Amino acid sequence: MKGPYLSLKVWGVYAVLLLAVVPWYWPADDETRWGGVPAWVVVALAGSVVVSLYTAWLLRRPWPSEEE
Amino acid sequence: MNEGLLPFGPGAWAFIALYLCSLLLVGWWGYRARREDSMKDFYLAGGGFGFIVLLLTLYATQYSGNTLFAFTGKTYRIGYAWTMSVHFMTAVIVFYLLLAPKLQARARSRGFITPADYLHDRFAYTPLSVLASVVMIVALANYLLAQLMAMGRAVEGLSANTEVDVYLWAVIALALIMVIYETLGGLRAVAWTDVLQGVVLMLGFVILSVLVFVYFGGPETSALKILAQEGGGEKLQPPGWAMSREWFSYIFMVGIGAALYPQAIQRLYAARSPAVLRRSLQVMAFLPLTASLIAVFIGITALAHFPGLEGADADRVLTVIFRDIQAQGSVGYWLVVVLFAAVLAAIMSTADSALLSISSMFSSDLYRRAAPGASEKSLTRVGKASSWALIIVLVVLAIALRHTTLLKLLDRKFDLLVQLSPAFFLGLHWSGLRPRPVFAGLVAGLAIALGLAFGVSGKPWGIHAGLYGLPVNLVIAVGGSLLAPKEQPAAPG
Repeated sequence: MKGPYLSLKVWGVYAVLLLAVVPWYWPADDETRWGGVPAWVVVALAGSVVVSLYTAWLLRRPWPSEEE
Repeated sequence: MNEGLLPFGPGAWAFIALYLCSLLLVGWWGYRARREDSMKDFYLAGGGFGFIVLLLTLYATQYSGNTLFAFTGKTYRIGYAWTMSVHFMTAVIVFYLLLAPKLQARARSRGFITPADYLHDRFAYTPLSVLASVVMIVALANYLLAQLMAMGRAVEGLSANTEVDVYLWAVIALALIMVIYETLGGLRAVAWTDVLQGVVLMLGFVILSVLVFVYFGGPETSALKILAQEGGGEKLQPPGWAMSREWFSYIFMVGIGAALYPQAIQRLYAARSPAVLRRSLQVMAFLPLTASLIAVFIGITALAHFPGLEGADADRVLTVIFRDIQAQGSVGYWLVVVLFAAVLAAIMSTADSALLSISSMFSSDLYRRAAPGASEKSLTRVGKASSWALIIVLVVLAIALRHTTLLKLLDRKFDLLVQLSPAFFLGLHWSGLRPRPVFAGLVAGLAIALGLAFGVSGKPWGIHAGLYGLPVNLVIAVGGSLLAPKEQPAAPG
């Protein structure tokens, strides 16, 4: 039985999301705030919501063991 | 921990006592609901849990007193960079994608009780199974000790009584309540109390977030106050490359390590069906946005309104906020009573799960090997006795070590647990992985992680010590498996 999430596509998407959610690329002196929250935090949290949505979307399909 | 709080009155203590008695009652229900005197019934609740119970027991186990106190404290110290806690708690669910489907299917077909049962079934190599059990027991026993000390400190800060040693009696009483309901009803009692504790904890987070916004204003108010402080701007600025490295490190370290928590693995086993587990994980993927994120915003609010706490003192910022809310009148006072119940719920629900998990590993992984003919009934009895013995030892330690800062080894639990990842993550998916190279890799990984952590630093160059041990561990496990002659049969999932 092959694991249901063993695909380069799935982990490629997670790798891209990982690089996007950690704000290593953000200019260090940026002081932009949106609603009082630093813009880089809003982007990092938006990225986290995308990771959660993507994970929940992957989990929508039954696992092979459910069909046995 | 709560030394700044105003003491509770008799009404508040009656509420807390009622809450604690309800835990014992749930334990009794768990005892009455038992179907047989077997390891599976005691440690995995027999037929397993449905969606609501599984979700709330996963939630209450994963979010501990640490989330409430240490996460707000860490945000207070480093600012918005602790947003990384939302990411690493989400990462745990992402790593479950590689673990849960196959491990749960295998556990159901082979009747696993402990994580080491999988290792024994997959690798049939006793030194590996025993070492893995010892690693998990050591990691969890430390975690449990920290939770016991946190319980004592939480109650100590609330009592006006200076005649008796409140910390000592709080640790003894709460540990006693926990071990009674745990040995009465096993996982059924622990998970049912988790439902109660999970609801109280969720309620606590919601009340806390609303109160903080009502009493202290939103993020803009906090940002302006922080900017007015000397050096405050740094707490709002994007992390530099050094902090980003730490951020990546936390995502892998906690993501992998917490996915391998024995008590979490046993909850995967205890799901009534794969569909129930899959749906619970779907919801769990969003819960860091309710728990960790709220802790970050509370830490930021505390930093803005109550500056000046240094080092470990920052871990009690939540208490400072509680005291301020208490001072707002009787509504504030009673809300803090509910929040205190949530604190106890967070600590106890994590501690009871760790205690039960250790008891199962002691009985099933260690005692069963020493006494191979033991019946299910006597194994269960040994497991219960080990819970009592362990809790007595840990209560004594919690009292003896009360004036020390929390054990450094606590920080090392993920450094230890991640070394088990090749056996679990790779072992489930690659039939070529061999037992002896996995064992050698585990020994090397542990030696490097602990050697670095205690000899050099917990995070050399911003990367956790365990993540230096893991690549070496992996190379030995994979390389050794590829080079080894094909001698042992392999049975992937």
